[in-house]
Amino acid sequence: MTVVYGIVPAETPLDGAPAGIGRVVSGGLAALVSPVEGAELHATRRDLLSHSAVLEHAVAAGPVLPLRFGIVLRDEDAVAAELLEPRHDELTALLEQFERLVELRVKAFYVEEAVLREIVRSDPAIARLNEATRGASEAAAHPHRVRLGEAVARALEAQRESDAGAIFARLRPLAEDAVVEDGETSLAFTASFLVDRGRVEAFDEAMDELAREHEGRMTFKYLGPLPPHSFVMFPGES
Amino acid sequence: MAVATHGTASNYLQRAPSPSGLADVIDLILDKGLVIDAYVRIAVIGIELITIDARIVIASVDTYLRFAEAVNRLDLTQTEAAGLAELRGDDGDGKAKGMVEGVKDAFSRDDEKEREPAKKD
Repeated sequence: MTVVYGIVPAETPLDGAPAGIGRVVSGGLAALVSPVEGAELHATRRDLLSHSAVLEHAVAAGPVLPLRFGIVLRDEDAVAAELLEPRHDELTALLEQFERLVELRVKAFYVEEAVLREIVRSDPAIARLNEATRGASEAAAHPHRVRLGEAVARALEAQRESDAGAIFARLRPLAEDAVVEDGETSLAFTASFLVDRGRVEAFDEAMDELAREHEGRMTFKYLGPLPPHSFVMFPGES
Repeated sequence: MAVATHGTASNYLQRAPSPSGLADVIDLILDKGLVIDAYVRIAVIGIELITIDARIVIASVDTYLRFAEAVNRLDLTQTEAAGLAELRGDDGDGKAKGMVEGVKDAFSRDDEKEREPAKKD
């Protein structure tokens, strides 16, 4: 059986690719593949990391259409006969569409202590509840603590929406497309941006500025250039 | 897989060319990317369920109490400058990290025994 990682133009060099990675070439397209060892398919930590490593190597060399993790075809002939040949036109069009586009992934995390301090300072009701529950005995203060925590969670959510909106507004003009993901508490912002390779530097600078502006209250995790994981799909699918 | 602080900006920008840990990788490759008809799709059910569980846990009384305790503990007389100096040693993977991300990391390291073998036909 053969694992498929991604599709690249056939002329993309394979030099320096992770060990064991081969190509199946057909009609100007190459699928990056490797054989699956053994009779049973177990997804290990190493499999997940190597899927990412193969795509990461490919995107450094040129355009790549990343496949979702874990797609296995019968053998290399099936990769040509069941993937590259029947999907040739769509795959070629996608490679053209994403030729110069990479994904940049941004996550912003609150420095919890700093943002909580902002919230207590800006909301008198929360400040009062905080004073009332500080140092109070566990049992007596319990209902007030739940109310305090709920009010803080709500304030944090409002703050998150406002910060996320501002970060998005700053970065979106630099991108061709963007996907914002649902945030969770403490995670201020998660989004992927589809960016022309020529504008990555401008995006880097914008990230630099954002990190400075929010220094002390947020940390940013900035990944890329990545293959366009969040953006690539066949027409008509979602 | 170098995780470099970019340019002259602070430690608050953690820049990496590629995902550097399992949580980041899972984030990108499990439910994103092209899907094609396959002979078999390898299942990683354990990891997916844990991610969902972590999200559900967020809006609970336990979370509220945790926030309340965190707020109670704040030293509100502390100056911002002192707060920054103290936090500057944090590389972004410690307490500055989102709660959920932390949970995901912790579980992902130990969940390999729980994964299910893929169907073979």
